[in-house]
Amino acid sequence: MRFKEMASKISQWLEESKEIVISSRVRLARNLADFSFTHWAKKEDLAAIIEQVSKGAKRSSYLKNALIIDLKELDDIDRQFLMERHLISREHAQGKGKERAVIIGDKEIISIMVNEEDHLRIQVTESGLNLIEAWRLASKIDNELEKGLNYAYSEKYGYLTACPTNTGTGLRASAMIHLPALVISRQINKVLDAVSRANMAVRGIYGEGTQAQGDLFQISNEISLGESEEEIVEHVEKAAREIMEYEKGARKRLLTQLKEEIKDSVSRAYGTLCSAYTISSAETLTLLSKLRLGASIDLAKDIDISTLNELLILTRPAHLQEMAGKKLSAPERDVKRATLIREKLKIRSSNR
Amino acid sequence: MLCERCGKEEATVPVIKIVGGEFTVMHLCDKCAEEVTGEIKKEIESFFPSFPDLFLKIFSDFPSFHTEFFTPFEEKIKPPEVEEIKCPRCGLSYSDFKKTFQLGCSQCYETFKEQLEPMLRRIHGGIIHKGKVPSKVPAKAKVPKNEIEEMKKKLQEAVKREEYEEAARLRDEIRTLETRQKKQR
Repeated sequence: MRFKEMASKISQWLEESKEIVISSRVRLARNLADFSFTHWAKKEDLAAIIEQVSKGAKRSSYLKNALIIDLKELDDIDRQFLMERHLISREHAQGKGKERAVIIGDKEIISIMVNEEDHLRIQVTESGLNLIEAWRLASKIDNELEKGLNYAYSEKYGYLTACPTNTGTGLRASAMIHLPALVISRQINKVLDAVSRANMAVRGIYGEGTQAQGDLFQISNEISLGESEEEIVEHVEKAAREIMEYEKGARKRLLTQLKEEIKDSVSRAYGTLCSAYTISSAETLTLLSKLRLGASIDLAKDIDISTLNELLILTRPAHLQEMAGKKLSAPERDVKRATLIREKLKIRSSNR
Repeated sequence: MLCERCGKEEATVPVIKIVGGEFTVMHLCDKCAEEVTGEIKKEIESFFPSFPDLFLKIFSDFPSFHTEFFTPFEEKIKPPEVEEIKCPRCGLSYSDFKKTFQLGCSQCYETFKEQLEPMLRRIHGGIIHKGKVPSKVPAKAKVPKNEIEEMKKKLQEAVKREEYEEAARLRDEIRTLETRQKKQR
């Protein structure tokens, strides 16, 4: 375990996020023309790819102080830790013993997965709804990396990726959205249906195949070929903005029609979080979601949303273990988690 | 028997060449068989720029029996053979691809072109890239002129068959490719 220091703080993009759309993320899939795609490449080729990409990163002005981490050298908890922070994908965290790496830039805004499904997955995360900025930065990094790398590209199909679902721009633009009011008022399925009809995908917060927890959803484009990057980014932004409006409408209705019930559920969530001695990860996410809703509709004015953002990540299993500096069993984690939540919420209330 | 081409070495490989309906059998030595295959490959290339590797690959899977087909363009390869198509560069077969839904290398896009293009169209609604272009595009990545000519032929055929939706799609794709090439010049 080697992330003790990093584990006690969250990234700036999340700390600053107070909106319904929590974060915007853009990723570009790129491959090197001279090698087979990751899953089909030889071990020594994968090592050569890491070397070439690392060299390229060192020359990039955006990645001067970047951490280059060989995932082989990490234990399971370290890799899960990086996944909980959205710096690597679940797939990248799981593949055992393979030659793969991650390059993490300043403030954890930029991360580049090396030898995930594609040789490079350049990822940029921004606070709130800001996909356009995220795309611009990702593209600039891409330009710098391209100088020293020979990308697999075809004039006809665009950037060539291992899976045909990413061919073309290699772009996935996604927005992480908190939708508690739509969930409570049971309108969420209607909204998500409309999203998928518009050629967008809805996923849980940790990407493909993960469940939506804590009323957090990720929406992203499905199409990567035949539309320009700007068009794709605009479509996702537009969809996110529309969903945000639905959520706002649902919050207003909750406040007028179910004010007492909502107030009760927010207060109970706060009570449990402040006094529990042991608490699971799933219950934490559910209660944090209620509290976040309360804080944003002025039912829990004194709750600071950045504290909730902090708790959202710091209470994840690998974070607790990194902070403790050792492996913990699930019941041990539940006790640690409850203690951490009590401390964070108490610090906040004593500051008042 | 001696090789029919050089007359020096022992003939080891029967090469069957089918052009249109006509076919000829030649008994050749290893060296000549390779040279002839190379020549045939060039001939196919001039006809059909994107396919030679794929054709050669299918038949080199039958050892000691090199066959070269000049099938009319419309004739599609039969399904069981599709499964066995292998990318000449990375060795991934079409059935490998079907199992994992992951291609083996950038060359696979050419190797499995006939199968991939309808698939890309189903996933994305189109097959022509409209976005970012890297600052250096290698000559290999460029769309060959005759491919655009080929698309134009298909467009005319689609119009003849009164398949206007298909024709409109092809027209847009040709336009995108041509404007991009003009820009780069």
